[in-house]
Amino acid sequence: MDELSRFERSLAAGLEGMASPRRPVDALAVARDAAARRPPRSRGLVPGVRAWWRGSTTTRPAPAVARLAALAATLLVTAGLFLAIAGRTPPPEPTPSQAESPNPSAPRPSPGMGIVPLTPDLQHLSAGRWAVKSPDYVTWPFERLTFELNEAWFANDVSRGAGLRRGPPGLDSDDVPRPEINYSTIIGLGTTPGCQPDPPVVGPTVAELADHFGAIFGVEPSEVDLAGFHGKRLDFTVPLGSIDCRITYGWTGAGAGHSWQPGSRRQLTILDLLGTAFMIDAGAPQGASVDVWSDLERVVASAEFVNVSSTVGKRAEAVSEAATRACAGLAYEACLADFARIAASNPGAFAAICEDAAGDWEIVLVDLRGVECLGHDGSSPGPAVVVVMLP
Amino acid sequence: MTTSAAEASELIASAAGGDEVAFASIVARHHEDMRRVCAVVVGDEGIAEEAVSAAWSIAWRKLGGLRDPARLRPWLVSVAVNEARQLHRARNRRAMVEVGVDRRTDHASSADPASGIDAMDLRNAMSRLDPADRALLAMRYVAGFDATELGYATGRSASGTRARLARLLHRLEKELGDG
Repeated sequence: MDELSRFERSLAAGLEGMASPRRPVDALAVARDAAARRPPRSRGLVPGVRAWWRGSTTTRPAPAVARLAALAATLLVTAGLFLAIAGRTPPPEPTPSQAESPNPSAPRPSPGMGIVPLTPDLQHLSAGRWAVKSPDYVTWPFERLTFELNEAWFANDVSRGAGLRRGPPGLDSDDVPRPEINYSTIIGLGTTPGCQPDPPVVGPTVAELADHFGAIFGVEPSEVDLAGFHGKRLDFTVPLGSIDCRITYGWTGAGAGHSWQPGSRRQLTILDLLGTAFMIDAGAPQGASVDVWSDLERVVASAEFVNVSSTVGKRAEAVSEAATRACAGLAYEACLADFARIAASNPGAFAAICEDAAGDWEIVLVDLRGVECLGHDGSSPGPAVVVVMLP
Repeated sequence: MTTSAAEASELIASAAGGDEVAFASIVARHHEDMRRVCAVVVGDEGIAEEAVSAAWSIAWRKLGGLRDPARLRPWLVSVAVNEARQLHRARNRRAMVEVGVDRRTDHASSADPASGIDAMDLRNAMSRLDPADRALLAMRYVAGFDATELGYATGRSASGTRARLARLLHRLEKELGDG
């Protein structure tokens, strides 16, 4: 019965068209709704634990559930403390359906608000406030950076720290000059212009970085306040050089490098985020219209940082490294036990257990509220299961 | 990755015992199959959603009676389909002017070049079938049931289900081919 005839294949395709596409399901909400329609039975979930299940195979042993529930409750309280300590009002949270999709391989909707998808290609973003997460190999001194975008914007290889692009998308995302906003911590600047940045020698204070850019491009940095943080801003046009590649000047960030086209206009905003230099680099190709530039400035001005901390990123990075080592080669249950032990001793980190492409389990702890399982190379999400979302 | 019978049994037992997490795991695996089959059977996504919600409520109460984990998916889908058919009948009684199932205006209203069957012809052909036959086709070609699962879902033998499906296919092929 497995072999389909030609007509059956056509029929199956037609019926697929009649059935709407598969959609992410908030299974725990459905389960709770089903349970609520009748008197509840013997036991339910511990409050505060969000949906967690292994996508396709196994059941959760009760002791592991209890451990994870305790862990989640602990982290929940810690997360609340973080918010209180930070003393800052976070921007609107992404809707759960976007932030908690349990199946990253499924087609993603284009929501009006959510976490910018970590995809290697251009992906259109609908109008709304979008949160940018750091790649898992980069430490940012905050949990999220959010921008208010209109419908002209696309995500472009955000997993590698590239940034946002203003549409429309071209066939080759790398070769089409377009208005863009990049962002990263800066670990240093190349001392000389060229196709590739030289080893970084300048920085890392905001003043040092701004002065260096100012000297290269012959502009005076101005003072700027953005999203409650102080820094320097430089506005200039990249000079048309005589070198034989279109890249003239680069800067290196943590886990990312950036380059600027000759003739493009740049606006650099370098902020001091509790001691870490963070740069928002807005740029547009030569000849960009006033409207385009105004839109770039508007998006930059809309930036908000969520839960800025001088320590959270560093801790999460250390925890992630330790947890990944501990989980390597272990079966799921053992991985889960290690997860509970390690994460419980590191409150404030956000955690997930992921299944890698080889079918092995690994722990990924991140300092973000949106949990996404990434390959260790920071590339596109692999087959993964979101285990815990807080809160 | 497949679920072993032992794991499935354990999952069902946990869910039947009131473990919402285990039940949610079952929901995650089967919800979309149920919804999509219902959508084909009644041609109304709203009804399909409602029916699946009702089916999960039934499943929450009656899951403990399921002894064979191999029957879980067919059972869930058939419960949802039954709910969908009842809801559909009730709506039609109230709205009296509704005809058939061909009222959708979504993405499937145009021909699918990959299928070779005009979408509207297929809808019309499906609307002329008995709902049980629509369910059989949807379970086979949308949810991917094999003959054994189809038998579980319809209460017939696997061989009897194959024969019924073959007759249905013959009828549809003739109808759509002539169309």
